[in-house]
Amino acid sequence: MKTFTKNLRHKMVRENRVYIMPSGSGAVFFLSIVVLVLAAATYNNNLIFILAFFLSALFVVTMLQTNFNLKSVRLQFLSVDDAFEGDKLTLLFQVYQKRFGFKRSLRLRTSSKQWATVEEGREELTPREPTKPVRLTVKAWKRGVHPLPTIILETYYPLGLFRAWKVFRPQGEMIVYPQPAGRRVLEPSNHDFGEEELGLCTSPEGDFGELKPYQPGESYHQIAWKHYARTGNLYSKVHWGEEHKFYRIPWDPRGATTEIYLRQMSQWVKLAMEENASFEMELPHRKIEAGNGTDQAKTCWRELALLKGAA
Amino acid sequence: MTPGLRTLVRPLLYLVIFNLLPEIYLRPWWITVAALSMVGFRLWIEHTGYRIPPRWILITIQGLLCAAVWQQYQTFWGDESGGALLTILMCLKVYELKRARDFFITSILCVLVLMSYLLLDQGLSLTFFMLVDLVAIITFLFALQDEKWSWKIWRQATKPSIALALKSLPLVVLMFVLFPRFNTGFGHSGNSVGKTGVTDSLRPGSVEDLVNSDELIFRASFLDGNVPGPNQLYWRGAVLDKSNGLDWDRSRSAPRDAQPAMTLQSPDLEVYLEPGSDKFLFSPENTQTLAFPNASGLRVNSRDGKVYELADSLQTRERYYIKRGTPAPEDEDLSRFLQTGEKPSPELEKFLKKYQGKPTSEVIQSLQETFRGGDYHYSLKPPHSANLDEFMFKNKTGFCEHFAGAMGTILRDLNIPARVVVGFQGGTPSYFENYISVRGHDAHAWVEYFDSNAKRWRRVDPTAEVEPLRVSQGSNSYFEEGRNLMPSWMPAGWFRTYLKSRAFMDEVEANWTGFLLRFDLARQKELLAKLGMEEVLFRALGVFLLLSVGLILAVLYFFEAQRKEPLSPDEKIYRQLLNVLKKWNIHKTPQEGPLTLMAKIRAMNASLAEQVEPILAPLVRVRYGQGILSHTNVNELRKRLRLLRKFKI
Repeated sequence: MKTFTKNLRHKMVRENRVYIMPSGSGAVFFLSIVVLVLAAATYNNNLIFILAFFLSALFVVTMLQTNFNLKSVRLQFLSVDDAFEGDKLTLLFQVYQKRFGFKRSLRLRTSSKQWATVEEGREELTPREPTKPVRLTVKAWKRGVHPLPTIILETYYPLGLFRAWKVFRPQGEMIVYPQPAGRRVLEPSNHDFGEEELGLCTSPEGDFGELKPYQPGESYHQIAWKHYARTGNLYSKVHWGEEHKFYRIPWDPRGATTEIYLRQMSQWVKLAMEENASFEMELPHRKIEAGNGTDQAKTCWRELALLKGAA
Repeated sequence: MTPGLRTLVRPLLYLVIFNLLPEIYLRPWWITVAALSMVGFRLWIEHTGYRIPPRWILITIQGLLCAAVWQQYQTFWGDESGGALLTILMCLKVYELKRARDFFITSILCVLVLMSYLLLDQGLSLTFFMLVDLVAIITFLFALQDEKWSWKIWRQATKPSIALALKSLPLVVLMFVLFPRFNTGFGHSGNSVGKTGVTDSLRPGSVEDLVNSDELIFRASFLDGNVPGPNQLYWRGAVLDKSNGLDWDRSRSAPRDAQPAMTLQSPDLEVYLEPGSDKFLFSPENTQTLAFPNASGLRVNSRDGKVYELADSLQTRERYYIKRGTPAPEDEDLSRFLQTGEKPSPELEKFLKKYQGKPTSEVIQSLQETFRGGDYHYSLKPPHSANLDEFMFKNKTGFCEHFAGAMGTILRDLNIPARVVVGFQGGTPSYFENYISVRGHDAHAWVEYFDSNAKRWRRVDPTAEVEPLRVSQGSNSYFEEGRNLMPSWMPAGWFRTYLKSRAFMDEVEANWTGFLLRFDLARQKELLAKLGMEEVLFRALGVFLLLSVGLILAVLYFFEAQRKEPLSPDEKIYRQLLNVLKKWNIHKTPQEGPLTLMAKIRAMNASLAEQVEPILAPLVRVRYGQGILSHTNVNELRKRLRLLRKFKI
């Protein structure tokens, strides 16, 4: 039944068509007109008739204006930022008009309860600025890759008596990463960095770094052990920035549910990124090779988002 | 409350205060004071940031005020009491402004309170107030949509409201003319006091109570243009035939000859009677027929003494027509017009002796001389006279009801059939003398006696002998307590100017009333009959109204669709350029700016780019505020555009 109604709605409610109905305020306004007409008829009072007719005419004319406010306005999807579960997801649209006029109080929101609108987009178009970017923020409710929700472009201009709206079904995807959460500690692991000559060494990514004489108190993890094995001298590895760590993020739920473990992995990715460490990730179906930085983190997060598992 | 809505609180409070202005003269003073105090206190809270009183206090205030309304009107069901309750509701609602919906409801309450004013007064000044108020309310609703208000641009904010109001006008006119008038059948509430004050009885003081009333009772137009002088303007309301000294009553008798409504051929007078709880239809002497227009649905009853009344009280302003004529000789049983409540006292008998045995005309003349020269005084605040003797022989001071009641009884004691008539005398001519306005203070009582020779009733007004000015100049001459004229400190010229300007405004108002408010069901049917829609009135009206509304909507739709907003010269040239580029299949997508477009053209064809750049570059500078486009520049760009049209890749 749900699918049937959904399909029916999909067929009947077409994109780019203006729909208009009285709003709650409009219903109250209409009722007050009825009260005025009855009072005028009861007391045979022509001035109250004039008042009632004026409000009726206003009702009708604002219906036209509300309709025109949305006519020829179009929406184009530009981009969407990825976000973590529970965070805000910002969708960027371009609102524009085909015929250049004043379009006021245009509001953008989603029609989906799941993708609840956190911050409505509100814009005005003028002949001087017939196109404008508009942001719509929704709450990312669930990890995964999701199609863009149906967008409603609506207006209540000029008096709020009518609501006119258009439905847009943009094509695109939103990716929601698992929320970084979890208390498990992931120790950095030793990584075979390759040849470590004095002043010349490589990181896992192949970048060059440096060796410096070991100072007591420095972390043992930074000691170039292979170099020590060959030369007997203790040197610490110095790459760009601080101590360069390497994390191997395993696929090891240890009894936790998939979702919880995915959040844990997300947390590790986040920490590794913040530490500017290199990291690689194991997933059930593939392995993400070592890397570092934001791009590496995004790659990992995307894979975590795409992973099918218990919701 | 959002920050945007917060900016709307003060404008709304000022709107409500503006809406309360007519309260000052339309409602009891305590309601006005209470309403202004409540809103004023809310405004003070807004300025100082104090807390809004808790709900229980507001509910208590509401309860007290409702009780006070009940005490004032003895009902909640009525136009005045309902209006007072609406006012209280509106003033309390401003303490509940949290969401946009609350602001909207308050605006609607302003409209309903406005409606309650129109139930009490339909004058020109209130009409003007209504228009200003509506524009203010629409302006506020515009601001409510944007959820922001700025006092700096309030003038700009009213422009779209006025534009919207003007666009609505054609539909208003159409609906006003074509919307079928109907009656809900609820009618007026009970317990309201009759406006005219004229009743079926006369007691000392009953007419005097009306002296201070400036209430408009009716307006009368003499359609033949012959307006009698004030001395001849006696408007008969009730004829009283039961005498008891100074007290007179009307005997109960069934109304006879109930006349169906009809439209008179060539009426002499057209009367607009204001609504009240009275049934009396006032008519001058020598009235032959009185009738309402065909479609009014009102039936006229005639009563003894050739006065007319309705079966039920008049609830709304109505007009009726009168035709006058020479009265036919009457042959009725006059015995009840000789009845007196008690035998004359010895003193009265002594007084009556000098009139006995004389013909009726001599008696009348002598009595008039007695009142004229007998040291009688006309006063707006006479001393209390317990009976006829005390008035005639001791106090000798009274109001018209005293003189009329006394003379009527005296005539009966002299075996002359007599009756007392209560109604109105005189009236104020309009500024251009097109009609007479009769107000509460024109209330009067006089006597009619039966002339056995002519076999007809004749009028005699004893007040005219005691105070001729009252009858010849009208009640306007009586300005304050005391006998005569205006205060001694007021120059006569000021008072005349005041009366003249009031008459002028009254005429303007009467024309407004006549032109617009005269459009009742009867007039509507007459108009539609002229259009050939008499028979199938309501159905045809409904269809015609819908079609007309549809037509007007279509016209509005057409104009809205075609409406082009004014473009600056640089915008026009830019759009023309984009149109020209389509020739080479170069389309600007919405997200592309002019510079991106230029890069696209350059990538596509360098020679074309060379032609386009001199046009686009200055437009970009203007758009981003780095230059201005002078008239010379515009012409130059247009010339380049023309060349570009002819360009071939």
